[in-house]
Amino acid sequence: MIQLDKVSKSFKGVKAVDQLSLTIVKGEYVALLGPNGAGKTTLVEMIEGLQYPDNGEITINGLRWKKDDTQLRKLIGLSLQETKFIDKLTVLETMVLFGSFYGLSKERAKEVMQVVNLEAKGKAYTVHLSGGQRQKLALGIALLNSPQILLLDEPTTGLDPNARREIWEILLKLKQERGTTLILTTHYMEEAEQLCDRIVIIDSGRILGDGTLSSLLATFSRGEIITFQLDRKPSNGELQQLKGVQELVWVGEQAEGRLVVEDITQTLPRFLALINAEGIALLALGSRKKTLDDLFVAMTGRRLSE
Amino acid sequence: MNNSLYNLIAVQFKEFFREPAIIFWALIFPLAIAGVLGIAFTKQEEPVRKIAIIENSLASGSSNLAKLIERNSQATVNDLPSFEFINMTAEEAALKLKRGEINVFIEVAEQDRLNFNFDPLNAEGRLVYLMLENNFLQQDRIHALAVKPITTQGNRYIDFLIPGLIALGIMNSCIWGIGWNLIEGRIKKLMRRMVATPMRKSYFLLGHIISRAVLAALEAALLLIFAYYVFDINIQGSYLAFAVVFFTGVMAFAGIAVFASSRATTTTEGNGIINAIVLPMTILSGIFFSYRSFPDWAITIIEKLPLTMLADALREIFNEGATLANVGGYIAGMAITGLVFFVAGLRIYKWY
Repeated sequence: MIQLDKVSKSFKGVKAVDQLSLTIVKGEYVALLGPNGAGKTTLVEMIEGLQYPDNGEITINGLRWKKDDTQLRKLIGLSLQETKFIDKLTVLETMVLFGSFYGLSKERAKEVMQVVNLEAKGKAYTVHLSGGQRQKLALGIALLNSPQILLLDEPTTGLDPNARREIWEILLKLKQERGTTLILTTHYMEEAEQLCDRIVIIDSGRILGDGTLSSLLATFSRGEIITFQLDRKPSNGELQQLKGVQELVWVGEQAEGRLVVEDITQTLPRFLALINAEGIALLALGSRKKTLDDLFVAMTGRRLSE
Repeated sequence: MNNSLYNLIAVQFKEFFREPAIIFWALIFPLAIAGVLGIAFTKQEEPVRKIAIIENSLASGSSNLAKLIERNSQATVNDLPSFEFINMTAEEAALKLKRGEINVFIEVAEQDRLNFNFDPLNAEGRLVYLMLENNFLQQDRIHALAVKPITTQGNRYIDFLIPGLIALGIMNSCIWGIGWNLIEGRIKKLMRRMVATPMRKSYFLLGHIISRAVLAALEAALLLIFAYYVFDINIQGSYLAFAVVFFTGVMAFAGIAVFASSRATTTTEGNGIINAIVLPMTILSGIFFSYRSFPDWAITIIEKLPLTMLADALREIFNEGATLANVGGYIAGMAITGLVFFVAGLRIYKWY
């Protein structure tokens, strides 16, 4: 459905997107995951036809920007990273205005307001909306024309967890009911995990990894993690040599650390037995599976939130 | 049907009328300016001019001077100003001169010879001197002087001012109303969002221009009604000419506004560009005072500024009874200006 072939884009000599190729099939929910400045926005805006690539080619349903603009605009629904609306226009009026660009009726505008849970706010001026409501309005506008392809640029950035969850629910419902294709950019790994079957990890304009969450973790970053704090460090090398330990990282000056292990259920009892035998007190303990954030650190040496 | 052009126009009106501050600045403020300036320059009373007489010289001297002064202190010829003579010392006179409280002081040098002390570069001082000289030297013919105040419609300052203010209103309404709104749309990324739909870009610009034309007409109508009732101002020439000049004026400034808004992406930049266009024209185009006192080379340039063309055309229609044919040159000039800037602006327009 969407095909990018060796697409590049630079700004003042800095490569925002670098020889990037990507194919997305109909009905896929794809997350473009990466830290700020990774090139996510440039990438989606090129798919949206708001920026043109310096090199490479983008085809959507066999159509190309510059040639088939009008058709493509009707096909796509999108929300920009940040849009401010006309302050003294109500939510309904804003929806009707944007609906008119697609030749849609006022009834359709009202219908979509229900989809994004904004019917109660119909008469409110957009300037008085909360961040979450504003994002829902942006999403509503994106959904007006029942798009085949939905492109959302950081749809939940800056929202509180409840508002975020509400938007996720709307999007998941859309997937079940309409089979829309979705591309969203985010730097929240949780969002990518919850919404998308496919995660494309981007940094410095290149794709670092592409696949489902479990396949990415399996390929790039095996293992699980035990975090702990002790009252003193055990004698040299003992922890490192524990069976099943892949990596030991001490954090700071305190006896605080992290073990990357193959299987928590196997290694944790051995770890506890060891510090018990040495008479070391355990001050804090945690264990978890690896997350996208760990994966990202493994790939780039930076955290997603940086 | 849900028509997009209709919506784009309606949006502008809603934005306008839902913002009380905008209504004040666009509708009430121009009336206030017209009122204040009109009253300031028409209802002004002639001041009593104070003139210092140096005490010593009076005491020591002239018998004639005292009589002259006595007579002149009551001398008001028709509406000519009256004088107030005040006795004071030379020091006091010098101080008052410095403070601008008096412009002239008189001392008697020898018998019947008066020294008028004033700065020759001070117009008011020279005026007083001329008036007094006339009075003192031509006592007998004083009543032969007569002043005929100009009060006929079309010749008063207010007749000059109101068409100029209408022109200024059209310019400000278009350049700020269209240009600034477009720049703001770009800064807020609203334009970008709209352009990402199948919306027709021509409708987007037309929506701004049409709504502004209507609002500018409303502003002008209010100002006209105000001027008609308060200052007795009429359109002496052709109403058709007025309408055509009005709309080509809107066209000229709408074109300039589109050009001005074509690239700016920040508030500072937008503000600067718009002010750079609006301010020089406001000052140079003879809205408040005639630009005829500028040097000749400057006048040839000023005459071609769109605001000058608009103000001059409106004045000719208001005060000289001009017809459509009389103002044809201005109309052509403004239409071409608008078109050239509009096309140039579109070529470099930054939609995203």
